[in-house]
Amino acid sequence: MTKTEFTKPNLLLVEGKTDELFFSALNKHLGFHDIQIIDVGGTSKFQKRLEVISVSPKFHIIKSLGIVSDNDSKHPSKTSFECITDYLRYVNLPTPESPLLPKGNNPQVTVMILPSEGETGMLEDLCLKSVESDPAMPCVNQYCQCLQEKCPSFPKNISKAKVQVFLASRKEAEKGLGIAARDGYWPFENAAFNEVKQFIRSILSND
Amino acid sequence: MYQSFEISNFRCLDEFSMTDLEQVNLIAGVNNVGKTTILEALFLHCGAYNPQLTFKLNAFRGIESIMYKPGQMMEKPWDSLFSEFDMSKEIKIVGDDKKTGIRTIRLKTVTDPEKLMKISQLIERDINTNVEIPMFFESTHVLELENESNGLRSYYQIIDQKGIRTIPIPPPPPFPTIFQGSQYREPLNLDVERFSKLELEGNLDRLIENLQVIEPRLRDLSLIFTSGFPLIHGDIGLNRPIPLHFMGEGMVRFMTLLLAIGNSPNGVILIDEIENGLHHSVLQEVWKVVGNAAREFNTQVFATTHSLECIVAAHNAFVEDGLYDFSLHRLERINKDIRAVRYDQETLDAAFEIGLEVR
Repeated sequence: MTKTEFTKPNLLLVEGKTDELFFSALNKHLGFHDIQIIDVGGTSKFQKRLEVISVSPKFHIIKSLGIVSDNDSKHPSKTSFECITDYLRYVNLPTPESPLLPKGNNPQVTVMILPSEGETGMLEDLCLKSVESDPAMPCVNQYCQCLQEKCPSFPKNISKAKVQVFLASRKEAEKGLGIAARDGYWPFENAAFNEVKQFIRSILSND
Repeated sequence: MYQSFEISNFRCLDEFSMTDLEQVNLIAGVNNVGKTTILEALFLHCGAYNPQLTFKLNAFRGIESIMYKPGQMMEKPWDSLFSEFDMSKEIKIVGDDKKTGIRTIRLKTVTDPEKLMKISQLIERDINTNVEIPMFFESTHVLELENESNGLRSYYQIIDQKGIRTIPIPPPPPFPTIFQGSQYREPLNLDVERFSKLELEGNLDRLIENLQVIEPRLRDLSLIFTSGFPLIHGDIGLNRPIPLHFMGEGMVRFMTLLLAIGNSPNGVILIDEIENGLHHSVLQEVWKVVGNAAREFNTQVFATTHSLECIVAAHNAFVEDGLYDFSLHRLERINKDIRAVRYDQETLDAAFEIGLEVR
């Protein structure tokens, strides 16, 4: 019955296991080992989980806190970023004025919205963007379009479906997005990842 | 029932408070962060008027008695209660209790000659004699307990050549309080007395049923005299009843705890390291029993623990009860300050879901 403790000065909160694996792989690719990643689950539980994180043992050692959220707000009138800043305000943590703009000290807080602030979507969209020029992508798009036309029960989340189909086109097909990141299937050098890499660097910059 | 309390200058707690207290409160934290100290402060506050209770705190810590020879440079039994052993400070404990309202007690050493003279006069009046009491020389030590509820009233613990005295005789506490230390075991006759009271009140069957959580073979309990002393014996289907104290540490502590709750209606129970002697597999059931008993007798429980299994078991037990009159308070030292972080049902759920440390 081991429990997670804060061990590093930089903490990254992500929305699920897939994101955790993805960002672990990205950090490894960048050579950053001083960022602890915690999966806080979906946005519906984010507020309570952020609250308990902020009072957990050794939270005071955190110098920099990064939060990643998909741009898929279920709130009728608030964007994902606005929801996150509401949660931060509720637990008395620094509240950034816009995504990627750090705020405060001990901890400094930076928020990243995926795939980007002005663009609705999620991590899957970012990964798909990075493989836009991959020879398999026309086939992936064509396949998904065909399914959409012919199968009424086609998955409602087209991006997640496309990621699955894309990964099915690889040599080792049995992988999810996170494992695929770990195993080098997403080209981290692609410009699509520039913003997210800048975000990771900004978390570390306060160290 | 306490709703909140504040502690100043008591042992390692310079300024400390706990709020939103429940029927059952579990206190966690790393070593030497003040868990037992909180129980001790509450014990003094529950006692309300009695400075002699400070001596008991040493016993709870496993120091049964302190040799004190008047005239020799030696620590007094209460020295360690003061933050950083600084007796010029004043210990202050404020509790907001549903029954008695907000009460403040202050503990301070008395060194001012004028005040010592007044205490001397108080002693003379108290023992109704004209004989002068030779208490004012270097080896006289006085601890004042000032109780601020419905006016100010002071009680003095005096150590001098005549021995140890409390003047004036303090009234009984406003409600019963029992302290179960991690190293300290109350005399057996107290268990026997509490057992007899529960039996007289017709609660024996309930006690047996509750103890079966730890010893399912237990059929009956009885008081049997052996070597001139009554001992609580249990029938577990062997060829004779056996003393409960031979059934293991967990059984004894659980029985003592249940006897304490049953004998402290509308009172307070303080238990240090509640998990001691208990196997992890029985912890959830133990908590259910403790929760039910605390509710039934309206007894407020404060317990400490180092065990994550104990915290998880308590959380699950109170979730299953549906009432969740329970909270966890984790003590944390940041630089010099110690603070309590309160976890309710939702925050504990969230902590367990993410797998965060809560001790």
